Amino acid sequence: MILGIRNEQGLVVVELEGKIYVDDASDLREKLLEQIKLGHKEFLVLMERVIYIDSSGLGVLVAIQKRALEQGGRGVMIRGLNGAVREIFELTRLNRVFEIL
Amino acid sequence: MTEEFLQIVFEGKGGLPKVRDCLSDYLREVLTTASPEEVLLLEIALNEALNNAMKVVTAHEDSSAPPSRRISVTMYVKQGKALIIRVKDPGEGFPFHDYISQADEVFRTGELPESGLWAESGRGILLMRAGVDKLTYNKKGNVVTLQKRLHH
Repeated sequence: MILGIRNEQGLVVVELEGKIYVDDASDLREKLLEQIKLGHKEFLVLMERVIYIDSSGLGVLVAIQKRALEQGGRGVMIRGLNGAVREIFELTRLNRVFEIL
Repeated sequence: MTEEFLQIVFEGKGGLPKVRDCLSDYLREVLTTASPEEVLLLEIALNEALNNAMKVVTAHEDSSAPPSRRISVTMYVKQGKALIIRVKDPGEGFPFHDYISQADEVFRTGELPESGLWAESGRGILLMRAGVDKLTYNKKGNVVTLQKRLHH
C-alpha cells in the first residue's frame, strides 16, 4: 500500500507499507510516472514497513529507475529493506540496479 | 496417511485478493516440515504464478464469457513426498521455454544478464524457480506446475 508520496526540494519520497501486489503496483506506476513527467529524477523509497513486494512492484521500481537515470538524475534509492523483501531484492539481483541505503 | 488436496476455481477479476490469504494459509498448514525460508520462497512462487494468471485475465477483461476470466489452483501432496501446486489460467499460453531456460541459467551461474536485470517484467519466473525444486509448463503454456520435495 502507498502511504504517501511527497516532494522534498526535488527529492520524491515514497512511503510504502504492507504487501505490494500487482493491484497496488499499477497504482504506484501511475503515480510515479507522473512524478517523472513533472521532471523529478531523484526518488527515495522507504521500505521499512513493507513486508512483501512481488515482481510487478519490482517492475515498477525498475521502470522508474530507468527513466530517472535516462533524465540524468540520481535515480531511485531504496531504504529499509528487511526480511522477505531484502531476500526478494537479492534473488532478483536488484541490489545492483538501485542505490540501497 | 491423510490426503492433502485443495482445488479452487475463482473469477480472476476481483477474486484474487479474496482467495490469496486462504491459499497462503493452506500452503503454510501443509508445509509442516519445511523451514521458514522454504515456506517463504514457496509463498513467493505461488504468488508469482497467480500474478501471471492475473495478467491473462486482465487481458480478457472485456470478454463477456466468465470461463475466460477464471483461474484454477490445485494443491496436493504426492505420496507424502512432494507438494504439487498447479495454476491454470484461461489464456492461450505463452513462449515459456526461454524464460525457464534463463531462470535455470541464473541458478546455474548465479548471474543475471544485464538485459534481464533491467527488464520491466519477467522476474516472476525467476522468483518461481527460486522457491521450487521443479518448474514446468504444459505444452500450451497456460498451466504451470510447481513441485517442492517434502522432508520427513
